[in-house]
Amino acid sequence: MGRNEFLTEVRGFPDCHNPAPCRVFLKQLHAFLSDKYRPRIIFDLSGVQTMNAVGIDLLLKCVILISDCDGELRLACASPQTALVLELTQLNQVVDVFPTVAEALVNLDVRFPDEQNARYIKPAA
Amino acid sequence: MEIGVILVTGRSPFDKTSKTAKNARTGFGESHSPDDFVRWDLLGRSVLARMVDLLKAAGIKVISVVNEDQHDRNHSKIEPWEKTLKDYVHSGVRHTLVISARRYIEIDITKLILFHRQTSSTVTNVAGESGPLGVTVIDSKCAVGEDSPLSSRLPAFAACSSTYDYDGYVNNLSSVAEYRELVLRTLAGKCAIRPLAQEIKANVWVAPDARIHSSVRLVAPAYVGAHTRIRAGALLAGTSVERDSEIDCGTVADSCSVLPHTYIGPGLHVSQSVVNGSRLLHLKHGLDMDLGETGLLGPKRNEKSYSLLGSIGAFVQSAFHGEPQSDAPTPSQAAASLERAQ
Repeated sequence: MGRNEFLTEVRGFPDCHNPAPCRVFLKQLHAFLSDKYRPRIIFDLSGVQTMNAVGIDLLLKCVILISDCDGELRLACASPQTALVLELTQLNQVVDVFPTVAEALVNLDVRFPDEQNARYIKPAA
Repeated sequence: MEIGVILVTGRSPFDKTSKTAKNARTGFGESHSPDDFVRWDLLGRSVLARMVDLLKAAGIKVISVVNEDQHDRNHSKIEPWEKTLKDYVHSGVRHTLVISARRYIEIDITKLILFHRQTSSTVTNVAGESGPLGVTVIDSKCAVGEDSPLSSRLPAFAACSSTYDYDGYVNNLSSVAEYRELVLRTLAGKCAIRPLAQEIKANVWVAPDARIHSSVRLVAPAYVGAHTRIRAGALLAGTSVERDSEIDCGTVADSCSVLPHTYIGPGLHVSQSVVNGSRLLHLKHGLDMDLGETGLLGPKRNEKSYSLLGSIGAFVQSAFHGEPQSDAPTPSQAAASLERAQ
């Protein structure tokens, strides 16, 4: 388990009106994933007011990075507007979206019911 | 001239619901007044214009449209419809039909006037199951001789007024859902109005100058308006696309209405919505959003939507059909490609 095979991490997705936090988010995620195998990550979208083109761009990059590590990604706490954009672009069929982080955790942990630990990383301001 | 018609938009003294019009949920945010729905295109022509067409078809030659919302009540107590009524009287019109143009009804004007004459009423109000429908016949003698506004004198005519019972179809057009209902009803052929297009197959209407790619699927009921463009691979089901709009490649529009001058980007799935430029109203979720920033839809196409499609399509391609591609293009880099999206 040297590569933290079953680590579950919850990350607050940045509101992408400002591109700087998006770049920091991607860099941090890249650094986190560099030595991970099959990580399980939840993006908390509660900080996203509106999913604009920059946000979708960032989300897609993250999806690709995580899939490179054979990881699993879930989205949670999308606002109705964000959920609508995900539905329009059919991204909700590529990545599962849950109403709360708890439900996303349950979904990820369904095969490993003993694991309850998850750490939360807030997005950069 | 026997009969004149005044179509009143905005607040009307003959329509009880107009008193709460400002607070009514329009479904499109506070910026839209409730009577905007009558001005929206409905399968090629606005509901208001269609009302005028129906009146002309019934032989009415004197028709006016007045907007009560533009009336400054501090400046004059005489409302615009009253001024028009007085003009009609001076022109020799015997009966004036005042219609609150906020809802769609299919009333037989000839029968209504006949009823009005037979009952020798001064005023005849039309009422349906839910109450007054904002349609009133007024005799010219009401409007002459007095200086006070007619609207303040109308209650006095209650004793010599009659009620015409209407049991036909009524659409209050007070919400986007009701607008959609009228669209579907018209496409199904259950209304007096018809789409401004040719019926190419059962309940599928296409305007002659619409450009539709051969790979597009139109599932009834559907309407494609004038000067529209439906690009390759699109699917329209239960959807109306009004004039001067464009649906880009591979987009699925299911149970939607696309209002004029709207562009919907490629590879999208729009369902149960009304789209007006960059604004999208989702009927199921009750959302009213401006998506101009996303580039997914708007008054005209832009490159953002192509970039997004390329990125999403590339990811789907790699995730489900091949090796993961860490260098897959993202919106800031991708070139548009329909093949990759498919």
